[in-house]
Amino acid sequence: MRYTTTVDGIVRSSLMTLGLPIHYYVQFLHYALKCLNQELNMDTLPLIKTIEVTLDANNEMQIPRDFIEVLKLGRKVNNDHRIKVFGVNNEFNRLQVAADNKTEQSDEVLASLNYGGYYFTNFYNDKGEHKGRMFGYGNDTTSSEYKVIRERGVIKISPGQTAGVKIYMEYVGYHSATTASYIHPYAAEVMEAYIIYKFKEHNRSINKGEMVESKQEYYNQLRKLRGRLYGLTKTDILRLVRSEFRQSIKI
Amino acid sequence: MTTLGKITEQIYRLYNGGNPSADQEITQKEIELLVLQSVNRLLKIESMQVNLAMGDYFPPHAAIAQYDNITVTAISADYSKLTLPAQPISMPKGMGVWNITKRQAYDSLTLDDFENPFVPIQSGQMGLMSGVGHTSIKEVLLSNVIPYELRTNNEVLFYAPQTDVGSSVNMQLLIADPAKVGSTATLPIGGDQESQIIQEVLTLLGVATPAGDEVSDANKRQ
Repeated sequence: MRYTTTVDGIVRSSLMTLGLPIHYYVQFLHYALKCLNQELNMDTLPLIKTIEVTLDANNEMQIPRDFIEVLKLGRKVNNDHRIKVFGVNNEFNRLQVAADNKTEQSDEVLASLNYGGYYFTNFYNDKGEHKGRMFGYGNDTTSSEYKVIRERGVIKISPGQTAGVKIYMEYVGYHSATTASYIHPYAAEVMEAYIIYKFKEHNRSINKGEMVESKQEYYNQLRKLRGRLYGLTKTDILRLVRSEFRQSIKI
Repeated sequence: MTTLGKITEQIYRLYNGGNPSADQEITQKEIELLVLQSVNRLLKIESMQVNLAMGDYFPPHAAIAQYDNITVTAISADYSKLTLPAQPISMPKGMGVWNITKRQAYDSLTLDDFENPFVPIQSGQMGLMSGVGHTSIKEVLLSNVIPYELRTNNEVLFYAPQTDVGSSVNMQLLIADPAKVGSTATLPIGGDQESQIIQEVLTLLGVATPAGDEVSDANKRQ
């Protein structure tokens, strides 16, 4: 037998907990999906989706239908694993603007701004030592910005990016779960507690005190979930401290 | 524990104050029907006022009647339906139709597919679900289970093609069905409820105990 945590399993388990027959299945499924999509998905356990979209002629890309919020938006640095991440610029025009007067920016230029040393540079010597004197060095801001324009269903990208480039985006998306979809085992108790809380909240035959109790139980389970997910270990602390220390040439 | 025939005989004799006369207008068959109607009323009262009040949403087992091999007909490529073999007692959330399952072969027997019952939804609920886009509840529901709803007072609609549901299904209804309970069949009530049935049917027959009348029957006051 394979141990799996599914939406269907959590719903049936909640029915068992409350001693209810299968006639309450749909009501409980509704609460389970609300918990998954509207509560956990928004912050604690976000479903991160990743797409690569080609910019249109107006430097805009369509917002996906299941889009909730941008987590990371940028461009791939050549075929590297890393992404050059763009920032938000709220000064962008919300209306569509025909793309013109754009400057060409190649991947290599973006990359060199992001990581000195991989391409030709003149600020390292032949021993790999940084020579300093890079006054005014900073992030590339003019061509690496975006703005989400929800009313038009688009994301506008800096005019510095030419039409046709591929924009990489990680975003929080709606769950396209099935009842058989796998759910993180840590989340099972939270979802069950949420179902019971909502059932009691909308059941007139249950007194308010009992409802408040189940609400507290839900928040307690949520606290435990967050504790389990974001646990800080000794290894994490050691890695954090060690990452700031490097060997250097002693003179 | 009593049978339908036994309790009917009891009521019949009480009604007549002993042996019935030849010109008796009420027949035993009529009393049988009244007994079963009274049983259904008691079953509902027990479920609603006793079980539910104690937080037990499951009906008394005695109320469950089995109907096997109920024919399913196709409506379209996506839907199928069946006609209820009997009218169950009215319960919240359509619980009168207690269970519908596929028919599954176990060795040489054809039994209920106990582990995969069809999932009930309430009439009109699918219309609500279709509009809830942010959780996609309709798609999620249809992805793994076969839902059914009590579409009309005698029709069950399956949200799946007949090929998925099967050409026939097994059902369990909450009812004491006159067509299924014979004279020698045990009545689906507890021993403590027998006198209640007798009392109720006698009241329905107009046999009330007038003040001062020592015998409860249809004869004149003694």
